[in-house]
Amino acid sequence: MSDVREFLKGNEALAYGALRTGLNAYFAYPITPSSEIPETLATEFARSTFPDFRTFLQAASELEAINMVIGAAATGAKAMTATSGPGFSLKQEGLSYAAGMELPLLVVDVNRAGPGLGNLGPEQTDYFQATRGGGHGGYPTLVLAPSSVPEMASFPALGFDLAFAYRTPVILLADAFLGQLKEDLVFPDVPSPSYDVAWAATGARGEARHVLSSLHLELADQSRHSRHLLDKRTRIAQREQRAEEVGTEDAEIVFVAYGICARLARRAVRILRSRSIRAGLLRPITLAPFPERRVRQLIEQGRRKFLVVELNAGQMVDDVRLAAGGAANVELLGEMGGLLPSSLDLVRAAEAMAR
Amino acid sequence: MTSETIVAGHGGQGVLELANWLAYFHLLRGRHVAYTPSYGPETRGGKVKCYVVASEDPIDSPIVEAPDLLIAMNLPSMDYVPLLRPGGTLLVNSSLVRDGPGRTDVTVERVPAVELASGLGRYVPEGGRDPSIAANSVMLGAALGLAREGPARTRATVEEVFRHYLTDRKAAYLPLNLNAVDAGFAFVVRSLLPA
Repeated sequence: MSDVREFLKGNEALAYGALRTGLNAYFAYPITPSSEIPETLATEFARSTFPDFRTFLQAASELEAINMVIGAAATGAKAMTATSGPGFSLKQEGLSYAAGMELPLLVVDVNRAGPGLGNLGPEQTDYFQATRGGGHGGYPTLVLAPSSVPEMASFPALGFDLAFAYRTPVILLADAFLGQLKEDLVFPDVPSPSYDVAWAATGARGEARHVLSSLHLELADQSRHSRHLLDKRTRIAQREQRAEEVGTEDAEIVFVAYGICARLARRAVRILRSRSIRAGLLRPITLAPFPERRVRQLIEQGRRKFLVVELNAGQMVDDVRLAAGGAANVELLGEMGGLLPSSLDLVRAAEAMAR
Repeated sequence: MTSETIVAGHGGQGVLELANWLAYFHLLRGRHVAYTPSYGPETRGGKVKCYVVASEDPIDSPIVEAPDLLIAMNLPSMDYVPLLRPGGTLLVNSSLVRDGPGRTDVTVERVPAVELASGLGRYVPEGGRDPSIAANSVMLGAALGLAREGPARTRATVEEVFRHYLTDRKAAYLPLNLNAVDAGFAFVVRSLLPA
C-alpha cells in the first residue's frame, strides 16, 4: 500500500479528483448532502493550489450555476457544478440546452431522499431523471455511478474524458451515503489531459467564428441535428457500457446494484457463498448507457435469476428487464426514505429466489 | 481481519470526532478504513451514531450491522446493544449510563469517562474549556486498550492522529486529549488484568 493515503469524505474526494484532472471552473449553489464539494473547492481556490482552477463562483441559484457552466464549457473549459435533488431538477433545462449545443460539462447529483424537499438521507430515485434525460427535447445521456470514495475521486477524470470525447454533458450520480462516507484512498498520479476544443467559442480575434446554439428554426436543420444527436446516443451505447462483476461466472443468482447498494450486495455475495449459494454481482458503472450487453451475455451463459437492489421503488430494474427481454427472472428489492436495506435483507431475498 | 464499531452518543459529546480519530488510527496502521457519520440536524443534543470499519482487506460494505464493539456515550446509545455480535464488547461511558446491557453473551467495560477527563484540568490551556470535553478521548483510549496493540505503538499512533486533526486553535488541546487517551487506556488495561 502506498504511503500517501488520504482519508476523505466522498464529496471532498470528488472535489480533489476534479481539481487533479484540471478543473478550470466551478459554479456553486450549495445544497446538502453535496455541500462539501463547493466547500472544498472554495478552500482550494483561495489557496491557489491548482493553477488550472481559474474560476470559482457562487451563483444566486441553481439555474444561474448551470447556465454559467454552459458559458464556461462553450469556451472549451473544464467546467462543473454539483447539486442534489431539488437542485438537480432545476438543472434539467440547462442540461437539455447543453446537450443540444453539444457542450462537454460535468454535473454531479448527490441523490437525497424523496420528491420535493424530502430529507437528507440517501436514495437512488433520480435514476430515471438522470438516465432518461430530465430535460426536454430528447438528447443523449451519459451517467456514471461511483460506488466508493476512491471512485468519487477518479470519476471526474473519466467524466471529463467522456464529455469531451462525445461533446455532451456527463452526469455523475452519487448518493447521500457516498457523499458523507469517508474512506482511505490514494490519488493516482496522472497528468490532467488536454482535449481537442477546436469547436470552442473563444472570442479570439482572427479566429474562425464558432456558433454554439441549440436553435434550429429550419425543420430540415433540426431534423439533421436530432439525427446527429441520435447517432451520438447510439455510438455511446455501443462503446461506453461499463460494469464491474463479482462471481458472475458461476452464479445461480446475480445481484444488480450500483452506488452504496453495490457495497451491500458485495457483503451479501460473501455471506451467501459462505452458505453455499453461488451469488454474484453485476455493478453498472455507467447507468447510461446501461450495460445491457452484459446482462444479455450473462443470460446466454446460463444466468437466469437477477435481484436488483436499489434505493427507489423500481427504476433500474426496468433496464434489467428490458435487457433480459423476458429470458430471466428479474426481481426487485427496493428501499426508500433515506433508509438502507440490511445485507441480511439481501441475503434473505436471494435465498428465497434461489430456492 | 475486520473490526466493526458503532460509536453512539448525543451531539456535543465529540462522537463524530472520536469515531473519525479511531478510523484514522487504523488508517495510520496501514488498514483500509470506512467511517460513516450519521447525525441529527442539530449540532448539540441530537442523536449521533457513526460506523467505523477497519480491515486488512478492501472493505465490502461500510455499514455496520453487527458490531464487534459498541462505544455507548449515553443512555439512548444502549438501543444498539442488541446489534452487538455475540462475544462482542460494550464499552460504556459509566459516567452517564448506569444500566447493564441486558445480555450475557457480550463483554462489558464500564469507563467513567467524564470523571477521568475531569481530573485532567492541569492539561487545559489557560482560560480553556472544562476538561470533561475530553471524555471522548478517554473512550478512544479505552477502545485502543481493548485492541491490545501495545501501549508504546498505540500512543505513538494516537499522537500522530492528534497532530493531524488538532491543528490551529485546537492544537492547545493536544496535551489534554493525549492524557485523556492515556487515562482511558490505563483504566481498561488495569481492569483487564487478573485480580
